[in-house]
Amino acid sequence: MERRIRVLLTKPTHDCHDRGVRHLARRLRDGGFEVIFINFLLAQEIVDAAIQEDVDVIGVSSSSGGHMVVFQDLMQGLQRAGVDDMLVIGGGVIPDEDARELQTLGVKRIFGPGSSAESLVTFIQENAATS
Amino acid sequence: MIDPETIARSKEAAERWKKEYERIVGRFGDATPEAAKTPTTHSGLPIRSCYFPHDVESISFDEIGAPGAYPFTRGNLPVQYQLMPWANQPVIGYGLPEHTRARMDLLAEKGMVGYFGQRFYNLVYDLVSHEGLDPDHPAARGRVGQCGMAVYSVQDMARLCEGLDLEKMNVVHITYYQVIPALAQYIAYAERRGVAQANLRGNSMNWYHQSAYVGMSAFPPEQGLKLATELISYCSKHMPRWNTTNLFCYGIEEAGGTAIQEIALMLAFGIELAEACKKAGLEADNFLPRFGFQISQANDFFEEIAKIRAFRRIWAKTMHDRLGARDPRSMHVRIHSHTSGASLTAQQPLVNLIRTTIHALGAALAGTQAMEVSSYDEALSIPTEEAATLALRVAQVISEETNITAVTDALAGSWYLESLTNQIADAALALVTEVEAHGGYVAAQRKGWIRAEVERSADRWRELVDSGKRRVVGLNCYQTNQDTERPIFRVDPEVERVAAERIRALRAERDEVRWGTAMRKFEDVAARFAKKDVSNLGDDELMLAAIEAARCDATTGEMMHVLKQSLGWGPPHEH
Amino acid sequence: MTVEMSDSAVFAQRILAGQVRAAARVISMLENGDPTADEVAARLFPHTGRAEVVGITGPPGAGKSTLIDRLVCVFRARHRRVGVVAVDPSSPFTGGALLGDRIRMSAHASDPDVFFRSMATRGHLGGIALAAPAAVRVLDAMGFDVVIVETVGVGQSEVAVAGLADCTILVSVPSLGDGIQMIKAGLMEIGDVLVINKADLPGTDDLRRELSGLVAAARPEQQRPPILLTRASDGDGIEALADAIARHFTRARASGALQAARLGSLRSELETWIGLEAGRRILEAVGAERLRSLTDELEGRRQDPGKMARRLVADALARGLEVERASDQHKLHNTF
Repeated sequence: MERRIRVLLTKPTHDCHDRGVRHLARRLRDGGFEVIFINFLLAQEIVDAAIQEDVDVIGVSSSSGGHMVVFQDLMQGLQRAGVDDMLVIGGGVIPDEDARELQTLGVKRIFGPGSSAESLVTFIQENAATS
Repeated sequence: MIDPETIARSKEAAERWKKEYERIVGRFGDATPEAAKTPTTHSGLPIRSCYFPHDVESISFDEIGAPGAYPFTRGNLPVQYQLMPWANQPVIGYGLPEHTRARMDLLAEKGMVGYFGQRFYNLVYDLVSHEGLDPDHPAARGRVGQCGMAVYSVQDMARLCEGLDLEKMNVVHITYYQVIPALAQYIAYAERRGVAQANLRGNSMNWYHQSAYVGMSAFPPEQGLKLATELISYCSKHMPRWNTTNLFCYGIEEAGGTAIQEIALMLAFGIELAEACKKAGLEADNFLPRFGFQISQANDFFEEIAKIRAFRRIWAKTMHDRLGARDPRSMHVRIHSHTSGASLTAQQPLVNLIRTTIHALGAALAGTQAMEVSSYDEALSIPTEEAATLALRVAQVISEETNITAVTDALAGSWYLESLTNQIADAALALVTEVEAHGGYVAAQRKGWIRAEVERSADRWRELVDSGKRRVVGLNCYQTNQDTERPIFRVDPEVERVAAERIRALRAERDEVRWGTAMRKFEDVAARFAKKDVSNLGDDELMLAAIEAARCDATTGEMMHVLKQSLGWGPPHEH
Repeated sequence: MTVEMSDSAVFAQRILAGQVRAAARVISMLENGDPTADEVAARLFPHTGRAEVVGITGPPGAGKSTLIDRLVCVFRARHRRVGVVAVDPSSPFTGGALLGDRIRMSAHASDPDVFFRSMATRGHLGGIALAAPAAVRVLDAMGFDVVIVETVGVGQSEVAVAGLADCTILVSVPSLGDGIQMIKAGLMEIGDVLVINKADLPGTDDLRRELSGLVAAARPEQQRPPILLTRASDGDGIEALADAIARHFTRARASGALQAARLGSLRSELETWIGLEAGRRILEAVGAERLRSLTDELEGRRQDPGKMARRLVADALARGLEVERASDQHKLHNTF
């Protein structure tokens, strides 16, 4: 039996831009991760899914705005549930100044448009807690 | 098309040219760029490095013909831009209805008009209403008035259109699946203004088919087909000036599809929708003239132009041969060109202005009816006023300064272009046959086949870009280290508060009894609609019930909830 | 939450109290082969056997995930708590997996009475994850009334899921050529309910006839599974499916077949574990170095692997499974 890094990859239900995220899901699988891909309406759904699936990484893609609320709710929800060992990263169309603020909330890194899948795979391999 | 003597001489010249070409290129050996040896279009069609008259030998002139003559390869009408250029129709919509209205007035002032100087508004709804929710729903937080206008009721329609002459303007309602609630609310609003439905001009998207390649929650595709048919059926009888359906080719390109997939998949869907409408009792010439097409204009300059010419030809022939269309307007492809958003980069965003200019030029040379030029800051946020104005200027410079508007289908007769048009037409028809082998567009969608096909193209593009084989300036070549922080357009958070307050006030103030009766009726009708076969449509029950509900101040969220419950709703793909 | 590796009692207690985080963590530990998880499983075992385990399998494209989403709606309306374990194949090349079943469960996203866990096969050839039965028991112990196990019908997974489930549902779709798929050995004998989904597509009548015929050929009249038509996308036929499942359980309980089948499963699970455990211990005893030294023999084709294995096992047993060299133990899991 082997240990695998489990990643929850998600985007808001109404983000029609899911081409990048779906491609990313496949590339993460190729990188050896187990990838659970869902759409979410409310950030609490991400928290619940992350706990049930016991993931190591939560990746949230947002390309239609509204990301500040999502990440704020997500980080609060994780905190309330007592989860402090999941790596939270973001991606999509997120302006630099928002990305900086998100990092202060605990989002480890934002991968902007044009980021390579390899850099993400490497980042996860190096930063996901392996307990 | 060419006389035998010229053919012979053409072949000789081509032989000589080829020898010389290969000799020069051969000097590079292994270092020869692929495009010099085996050039292809971006969608992968093999092309030549140079074309000669004999390359179009087998093409019959009848396939090309004249503008305004079947099969309309060269254009729908004899006149193209000589009398007036294409319509510039940027999409607008953000914040509260009054904010959108301010932008509408501003752009009209700056020269954005439709046909014959009529007012023309391309209005996009916000994400919350696309999802079929009201602005006070928990999931609406942070999204109200984002990427679109916060319109959820007849009262919001009033705030949007107050003082405008509804009979002299064309309003495009860019919704996702909340098509019927939005139309119902617009009709109910017009009623309150004393304007008859029959005099309303506008567009509904009927975009259910996009769930095959776009990742938002949607109605099941077979239900979407029925909803589209229902709206067409109603409007064909009661709203003769209303454009019922927009075939969303653009979305396929944005999702990674090739030029061929873009037109073939929409032709396949068009066939299925037209057949559904006929089953519901409508005549082809009744409803086809009200179909519109939103087509992408992307990077491969000539392929994109050839794509449009090919599409006009195959659509016309298919509608004529298979669907019994006889009215030329049933066979026309009325195009709203949207320059490719997916081709733009976040890096060095001003360079996008150059890209969109080239795209717009291509659309103009292809003979589009209307154009929306992407703003240069597309990859960063929704456009600032400056970016939106510049986008409009791109189209205006082309139409005012280049003189291409003097000649219709100027590129016709180019051996490359005619050859490529044919190639694309053939490839597209072959793909349509494949879709039909799967049982048609809806069946192919339900199997996940359409999604897989588009995704395959998207992956291929990604690989080409990642490997550097497909060069993108600023992304994998000519990069700079500059971090460009441009002014980002932000929606005022007050918008959400006001919108939520208004919807609560609406619910509190409306006639509860009337609303309740109308909603119950709508629920009954929707439940029956879910079980109906397409051939049982035509009584327009659902539309009528929706309009009545809108009259009683039902909100978008409330009406969509009813439809979701009866028809099903969820992520469009299994995997 | 920091994990105390030796505190299986705490985990078990939390799981019995219905704590989601603990259950999810233990399921991960089971997947990873963590010995603590085995201890937890042992503690939970006496508390299992209450949940009704429903297996759902069928080819890709059959709409199983949508069907399960709708079925969960019906179960919830009947006040039943539902757990779901959805298994998808791991890539044989990269070891990664795309677990795409959860996405359809958006309606139940924050329902505390629904627990959904996606699982990869991780190279297990049965087509169902090795840890799946144990995961099902965790959900059982948590108090879920129904536990649904979803697998893609490839390889032997249908048979595997039938061994795990009390009620096996086989899903097919018209015009995918499923009838032929269904002829695969064992399939017609194991389904308890046959479902034709997307039944509005052409070809439904033909498929129904075909399945009826196959079932009649394989099973005596009293044991023939019902064939139901559904259109999961809008919920059509799902209430009837839930009723058919309920009837299956009522009958199976009354006749004693349920208990007999469960006992049979447990016995075969016991045999499987004996085989695994014995194999592990014997390989340990043989030692990696010894195995490597036999490469020459194999390469020179002087002795065939079967004979070699029998001799090694006999030697190891004769030695009382004493390990040849202690330092080789940790390498053994990755050899052979």
